[in-house]
Amino acid sequence: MTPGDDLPSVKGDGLAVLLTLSRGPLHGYAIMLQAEERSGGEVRLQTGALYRTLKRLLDERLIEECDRPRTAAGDDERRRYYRLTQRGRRALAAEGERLERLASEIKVATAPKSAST
Amino acid sequence: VRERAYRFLLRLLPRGFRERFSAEILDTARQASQRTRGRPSALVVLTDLLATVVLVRVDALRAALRVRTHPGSPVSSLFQDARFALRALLRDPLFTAFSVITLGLGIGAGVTMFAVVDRLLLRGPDHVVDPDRVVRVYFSHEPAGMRRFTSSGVGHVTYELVRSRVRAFDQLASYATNGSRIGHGADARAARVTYASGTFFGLLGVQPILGRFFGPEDDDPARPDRPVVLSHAIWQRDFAGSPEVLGRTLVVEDQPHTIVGVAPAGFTGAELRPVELWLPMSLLSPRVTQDWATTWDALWMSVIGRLAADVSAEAAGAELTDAFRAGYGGDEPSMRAANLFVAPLGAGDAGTQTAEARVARWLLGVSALLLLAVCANLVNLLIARDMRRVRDLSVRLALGASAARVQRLLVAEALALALGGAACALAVAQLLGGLARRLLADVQWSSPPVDARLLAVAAVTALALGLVMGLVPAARAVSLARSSAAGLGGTRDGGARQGPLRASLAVTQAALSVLLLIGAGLFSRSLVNALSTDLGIEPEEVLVVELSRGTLAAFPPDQVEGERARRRVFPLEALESLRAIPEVTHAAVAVGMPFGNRFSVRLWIPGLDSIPRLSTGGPSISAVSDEYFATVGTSILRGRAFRRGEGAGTERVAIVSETMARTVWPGEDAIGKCLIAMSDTLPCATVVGVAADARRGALREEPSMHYYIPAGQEVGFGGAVLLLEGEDTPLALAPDVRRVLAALDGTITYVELGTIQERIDPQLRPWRLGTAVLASAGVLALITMLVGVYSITSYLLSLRTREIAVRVSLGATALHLARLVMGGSADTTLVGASTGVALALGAGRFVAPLLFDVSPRDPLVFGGAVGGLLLTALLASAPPCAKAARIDPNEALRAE
Repeated sequence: MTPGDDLPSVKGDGLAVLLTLSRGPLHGYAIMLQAEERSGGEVRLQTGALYRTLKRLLDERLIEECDRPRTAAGDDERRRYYRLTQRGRRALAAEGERLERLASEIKVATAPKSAST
Repeated sequence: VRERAYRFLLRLLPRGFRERFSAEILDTARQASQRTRGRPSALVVLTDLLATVVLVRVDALRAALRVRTHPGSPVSSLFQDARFALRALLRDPLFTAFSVITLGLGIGAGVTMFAVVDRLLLRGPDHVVDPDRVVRVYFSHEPAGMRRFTSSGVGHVTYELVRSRVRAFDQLASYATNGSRIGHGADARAARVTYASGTFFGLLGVQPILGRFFGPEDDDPARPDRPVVLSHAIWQRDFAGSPEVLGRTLVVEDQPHTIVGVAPAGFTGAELRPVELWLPMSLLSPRVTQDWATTWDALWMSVIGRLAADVSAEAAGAELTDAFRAGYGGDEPSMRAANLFVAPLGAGDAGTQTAEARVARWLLGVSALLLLAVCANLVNLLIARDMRRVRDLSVRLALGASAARVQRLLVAEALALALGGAACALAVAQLLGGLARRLLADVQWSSPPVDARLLAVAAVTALALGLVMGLVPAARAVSLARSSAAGLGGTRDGGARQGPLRASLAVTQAALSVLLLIGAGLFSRSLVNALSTDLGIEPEEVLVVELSRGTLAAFPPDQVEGERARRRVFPLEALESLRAIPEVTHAAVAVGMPFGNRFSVRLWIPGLDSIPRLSTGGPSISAVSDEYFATVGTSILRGRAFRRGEGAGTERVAIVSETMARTVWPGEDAIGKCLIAMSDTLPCATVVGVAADARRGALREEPSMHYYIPAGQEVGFGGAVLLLEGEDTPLALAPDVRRVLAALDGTITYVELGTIQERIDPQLRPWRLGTAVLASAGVLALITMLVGVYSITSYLLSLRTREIAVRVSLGATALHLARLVMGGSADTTLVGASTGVALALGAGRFVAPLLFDVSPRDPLVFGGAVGGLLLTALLASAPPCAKAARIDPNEALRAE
């Protein structure tokens, strides 16, 4: 169908992680903090769940490990950093399109009923 | 501790994942827990890690199975269900933890009680083939002037009689278990030894794991090699499980025996108590009495038989009774009218079910009730929880998920909860099983608390509960979600009304809680009564000293009588030295004592044709030294106690119990009266005192007639024990007593020390067990109810916020609001409490025999239980009520 067909769909925690990493490379704990901060506390990643998600995203080649960015001064040297791959960026975009389609479907599905009540 | 738990959980991860991420995870978790705000609680972190372990394992498994996750594949949707369930549950860790723990306690208690009942009642002794057909023979008779006497103890003549004349059995065997001395010198110790006829092992159908058992050809006193069979435990402990043990020599009762075989682990013969060695019966019988082959008076063995095909227990009993009455050759008239019967191997000494078994059966019922209460509560919680998600579910339906699929997701959730509960139950069973093993220490538990059988029972229970708990709420939620998806409204107050299903669940739960609390109350009052009951003695203050010596057969024939006489007077002579121990306040000798040996002898009262009888039978006798009454704590009501020097050769005197004085000489003073005991050729003994009644053998017994004569004047009965009372706890005297006795007599091989209370404790066990189980079940039921009522009331409140806001703005008072919020739960609690009370009143008749001086309708217990329940319900609905009172109408309506 679409060229993004071989892309795995991303939902839930995976989506939150991709979205957080779309702004630049981060280490695990930072992903947790930023995801929570950006969503106003709505997204709360727990440690175990986060690393399971990272593992899956790595396996699916949506993210990859990278060197410590120079901007991350003062942080622990040993930390591993992750960033989005091109493939990850495409998967993120594909999910955005899917959600938009879904949102409009819901609007259509609910509109006539609210008129009838 | 937390750190250790994390590390432990991380070790459970698959290797690849662990090596790659565990250091990072630990680091991040540490940092997350150092946050000042938004810090996850330890519970959240642990459930998260646990879930990660499970989910990563599932991922790995799926990868290994190469399951492609294309929609519609049954395996992949199963994984999806499981994932959905886990994720949904983890979003609500409090609810999940609460459900898993209560279910775990409920299931764990249930399977533990099942294991106990299984051990005590269902499964016979281990390794017995077809145990339902194996029975023990009992006889019951009523000697003139005594109470009815039922026992499995018989002599060799009875065994021979049954063997030659009774056709009801395919096989027949005799056995006797006692404490025998094994080893010699400093290594000697007492061991439980079963002496068995050569037919014993063949009858039970057990096979040795090493060597052979002894057979009929070995059961011969003339055999020089004296075979002995080791239990698995002693083989492991004393012989390191070595196969070379066969043919080696073991000294039992100072005689060398040849080890011929080893019994399998857990084999205890025909009873449940562990046994260490088996020897041929022919080695014991000649030690009991010289005329063992012909006497009808000595009773030392039990007889077991395997019923022949098509012979019922009743038929066997009838045939035994006829054969015995016809063949009895002794001179006790009541034995000619004796009744014989057979009972299963699990029966107690009197051929009836043991008190432990009876109580255990009740407690199995109790744990089923508890499980029911826990489930009723969880179903109610699940319904409320699913209602809250109706909107979410209706969106799923609108997006095209089938109703069956949504329902399946909800059931998967309940199943996941149930399985979590089962895992928790295993931990609970491990704990409770250990406790049960300590309480029932004299039963051979051949399996660990958690074994494959128990695992299977727990898993099946959990699956069944999960299905039931999932299906009902899921069906309701889906039908509601459907109507709301179809635009029929109904989500808003869907579930705000308390439907009949939920009301009946709540009523069930309240009723069961009351029932459990009443049971706990009745049992704990029984225990208190049993502990504080006046026994007429002070059992905790008295140290009982029993002496063992080598067999008289070891003495040359001309010295046997002299040695026998020396042994008889030794305890009396030892009194002086024992009283010299500074901490000993009183010391006495007794032949026959409370909760010990009990003797009845012939008795004549001048002026009476026959001795009056009570329901407890005729009078029993003991021979005691001076200071006896002061030592055991029985008070002398009138007259005097025995004096020092009164005994063999002095004038005959007697002291009678209060009940005996009143029964034999009603309306008269017993002092100065005369009685003739033991033999009518003896002179009259003058009654010099009246003693308070004392229990003879049971915590619960009607007062019985008893009389005392001075130690040394007894004829025809014997077996003296030393009784000591000290300044401190009785057992503190033990080292000094052992030292003094060893110095006085080098031939003493074994000194057994213990308090009278230790002999009473087994009788307290049913009440201890009952109180512990019922009280913990009752408290658990109350806690589940507390959480249940609280969360459902809060949920209903959240649905009716708007209604309440309107009412507040219309001027409703706080009382009105409280009634509105609590309404449903107050009704169900009251109905439940009355149902529970009604059930308890109905069950009272059946529980009454298990209680101790407490009416099964004790108003204090009933009041307390109902009060506890109402208080709990009130406590649970107080916070939601307070919240309702704080609702600001303006804000609530604006939020809508």
